[in-house]
Amino acid sequence: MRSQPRTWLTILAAALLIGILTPASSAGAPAPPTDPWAASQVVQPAALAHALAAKAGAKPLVICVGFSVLYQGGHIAGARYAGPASSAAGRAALRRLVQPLPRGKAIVLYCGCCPWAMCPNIRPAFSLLKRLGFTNVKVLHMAQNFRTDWGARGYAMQHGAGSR
Amino acid sequence: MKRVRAALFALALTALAGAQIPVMPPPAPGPQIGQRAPAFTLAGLRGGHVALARFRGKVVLLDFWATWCEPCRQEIPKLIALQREFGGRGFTVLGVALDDGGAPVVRPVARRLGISYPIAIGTIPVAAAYGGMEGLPTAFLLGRDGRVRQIYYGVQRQAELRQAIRAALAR
Repeated sequence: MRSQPRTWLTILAAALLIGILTPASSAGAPAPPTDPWAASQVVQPAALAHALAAKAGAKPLVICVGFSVLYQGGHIAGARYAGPASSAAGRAALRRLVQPLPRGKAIVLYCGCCPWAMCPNIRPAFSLLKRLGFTNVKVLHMAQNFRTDWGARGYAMQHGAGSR
Repeated sequence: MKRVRAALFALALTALAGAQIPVMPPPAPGPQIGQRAPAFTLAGLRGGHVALARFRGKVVLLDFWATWCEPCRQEIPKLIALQREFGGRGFTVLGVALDDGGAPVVRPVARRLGISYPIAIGTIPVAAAYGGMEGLPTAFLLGRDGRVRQIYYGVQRQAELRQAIRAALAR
């Protein structure tokens, strides 16, 4: 009888250990993606909108690495279109777009197709530019999607095919 | 000869650019609540064509989605359940898939998800006619008269959809 509390403690400890060690994916939830960027390489929509609207100062090159239907439905004013970086064609288009640029060029990548953790494009796009040697690349944090985090906030937008 | 070659080269470039990214017509505001939903005829996922007019007299939940859109895929089981619940009472979900790859990309995903309602392969002009898609899923609940009753941006709660469908069916 005296050992009963210790038995319960052992069971509790084992359960906690299993809970900690079991990966989230095995519980049905997808494991969160690993971000290839540092926290300092993430820019918030308000900060980018402010930088783009400013009369003075060099503006970064903004590149959309999302899906064409969404880009055409509405995109950041002045943003160039590469294509979805989750596909080989999208990555090739991004590579072509940045090829002539100096490696220190300020670039902001964005997608906004899906909630941040689910976005299939932003991570491969950033990794590609990193591999190509670009040293001043940031990603635009779209917590929900382009409509909620950019369009609905009234930041400058354009519609249509824009420029590649 | 040089001029002809240059013209041909420019033509080929234009054609290539056009093939890569079809151009969306100038943005329309999209149908508002109470307005008639823009008509369309699109290729159906199971062959043939899907015309919106075919559903006149039914309550339609027009769901713009894409296979790459995780929230869209998460919502589909709810839509299947709504189709099952109200399908025999003058209601249908009509999915419009906006994948660049069209039917070959959409078909296996639709099969895997067990989608039981009609799916049309969307085009950029149809997306533009509905206001352009700044995010997916975007859905329009149409009444029996083909007018927009509700517009939904993002994933919706099933209870809300059910309530809105019931109200539309009761009219």
